[in-house]
Parts: sequence; structure tokens; C-alpha cells
Amino acid sequence: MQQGIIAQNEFAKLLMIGSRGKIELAAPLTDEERRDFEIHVHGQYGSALAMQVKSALEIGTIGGGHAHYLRIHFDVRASRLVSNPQFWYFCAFLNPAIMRFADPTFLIPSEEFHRHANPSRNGDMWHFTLEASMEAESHDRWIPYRVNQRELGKKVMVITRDLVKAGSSSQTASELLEIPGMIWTRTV
Amino acid sequence: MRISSVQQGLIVEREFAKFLMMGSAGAIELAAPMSDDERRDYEIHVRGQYGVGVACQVKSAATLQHMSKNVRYLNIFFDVRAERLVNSPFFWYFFAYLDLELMGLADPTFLVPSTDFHKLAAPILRDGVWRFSMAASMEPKSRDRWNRYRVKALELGRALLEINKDLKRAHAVPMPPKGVLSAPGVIFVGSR
Repeated sequence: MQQGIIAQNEFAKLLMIGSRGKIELAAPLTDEERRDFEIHVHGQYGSALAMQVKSALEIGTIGGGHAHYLRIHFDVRASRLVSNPQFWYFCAFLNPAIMRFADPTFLIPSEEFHRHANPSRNGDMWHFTLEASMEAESHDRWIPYRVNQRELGKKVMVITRDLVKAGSSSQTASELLEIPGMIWTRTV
Repeated sequence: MRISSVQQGLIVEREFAKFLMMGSAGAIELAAPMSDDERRDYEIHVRGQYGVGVACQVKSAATLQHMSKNVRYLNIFFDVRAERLVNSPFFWYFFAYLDLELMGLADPTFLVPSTDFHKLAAPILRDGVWRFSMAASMEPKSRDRWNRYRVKALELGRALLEINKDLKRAHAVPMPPKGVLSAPGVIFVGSR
């Protein structure tokens, strides 16, 4: 419980300071949709990023190797699994020795996470286990999602901007559909 | 653009909470009052210990002042309406510099009992309002009046546990020997 709150607060701090106060975070009053935060850029309405924060208090090695891995495991009821471009996971090692996150941290789109974090289904439950290398020379699949803490604010600003852009282009497309006689064609 | 004062206040309160929880290995619990009528940001107690709690108000700055070459000071000032001033061994102030480069609290931080703070922070009473100003050196070699209240951020949890223990000892209510309370005709008399 304490770990979860500390990790969420730490994440919020890094976004606020790293975006020079431009990012605003809101904690939903209920957690029924598994969002820890709704994130938007100050003054920008209509597009919010939903984020779930996951942390571990230790990192370990796998199979007797030397490389350190961040290992995060959790279960989700199938009916509550959200795979959506606007829903992301933030995963980090909360290092007790320094009482803050260690670099790198990971910002992962939910679709990507659900596809590659060793998903397995048992009845009504999905189980996920993220095993991401913390080593600088690693080439694992989570490399593209690495973010250093100081860059988190800027990274989330970029993600939000891309989502707004994607949202506005789809809006334009939906307006086109309303033109009488409009026919959609595409190349195969 | 930089973070707003509201964001700054929130970040520092949560940094303080983090250092207390992690630095006490989870032994310290914090509660945020639903209303701030008594100027407490947190009620702090040790898990499982009831009856003794420390109230704390958190104050911060996101810049340091250079009062002389190479000497950086944490400058904090604030006003309190006279009737809302709390002088109590159970009410403490926490002061810190939020280093925006570091994205966290810089060392040292300061934990000051309210009674000491109200004496040392150049108090001025005007029109029913107290004004307090604190200028604490951040330099390792400083020997200023705030030196004794310095605490490294990583030591905050242990420091608060110590404060709590001292308060518990100093304000323990002496209990009469077992059986006295149930003896017929016994009356308790207290002095004020």
C-alpha cells in the first residue's frame, strides 16, 4: 500500500517538474478502470492519457545470469483489461537505498504490454509478468520504452501531443463520412 | 514556465511523506487532515502506537538565495494569524529546498519544533498577524542557528521515530500501581 502510493507520488512529481508544470494529473475517485492517473497538458482538453503505475522494491537476476532485471507481476480480471492507445503502464524500480526510482524507468503502451509481458490466462484472470533488463547494454524488447526519470515529463508531453494529433485526424475523417455521396476507397 | 506554487507545495509534502515512510521501513503512518484549520499538513504516528502523534507543517522553496559569495540560504517566510499560532511540542515544521534539477529535496532539510521556530525565526507581530522569516544556510560547514535542526532527507524517517519516542517518554501519563484504580473509595486528583 505504502509502496504503491510512494511510487504514484514519485511519478507525479517527475511529470510535474519534468514538464515545467505543464502536465496536470488527476487521480480518479474510483479505480474501477485501473487508472492511477488521468494526465493532460495544462489547457488542453479532450485528450487525456490514462496511466497505471507499477513498481518493484528490488531487482534481481534471471537464470543465474549477471544482468539485473525489473520484474513486475500482476493479475487482471479479463473483463477489466483495457488495451487502448490512451492507456499506458509506467513501471519502475523504487530503490529503497536512495528512496527514489532508479533509471531506466519504462513507459509502455497497454497494447504492447499485454502482448509481450508473458501474458497467460487462467479462467477469468489474465496474468502478466514484465521482465525488463536494467542494464545499459541490454537489447531486450523493452528498450524502446525506456525513459530516464528526468525525461519523463518531456516524453509524456510527446505522447500526449501524438494522441491529440491522432485524435484530431480521426475526427477529420469522421467529418468526411458525413458528406453526402462520399465513397471510401482504399488500396489493397 | 515552471511549476506553480500549488504543484511545489504538493510535491514537497509528498516527498516528505515518502522519506518518512521509506526511512522508517514503513513504521511511520501519515494522515492528511480533511481541513487545514489548525495548520497541519500531516498527522504523523508510528504504526500501532495510539495516543502520541506529531503534527507537521511543510514549507519549501524552489530557489536558494546567495546572501554572500558561495553561501546559499534557504529563505522562507510566512504569516500566521495570532489566534492560529500553535506552540506545542507536538507541532513541528519541516523546511526543505526543492531542487528542480535534482527533481527532489536537497540536503539538508530542517525539522524544527514549533516553539523553537517561533522564537528563532525573527518573529514580528503586526495587526494581529505574526510574520516569521527563516534564513538557513545550506552549506555543510555552516554553524548558524538552524544547524541543530538539520536532517538529511534519507534520515528523516529515523529522526521522526526518535522525536516520537522522546515525546512519548516526556508526556507519558504515570499510572498508579495495579489494583489501586479498582480499590473502593479511590479518588484521582490532578494538578493544573
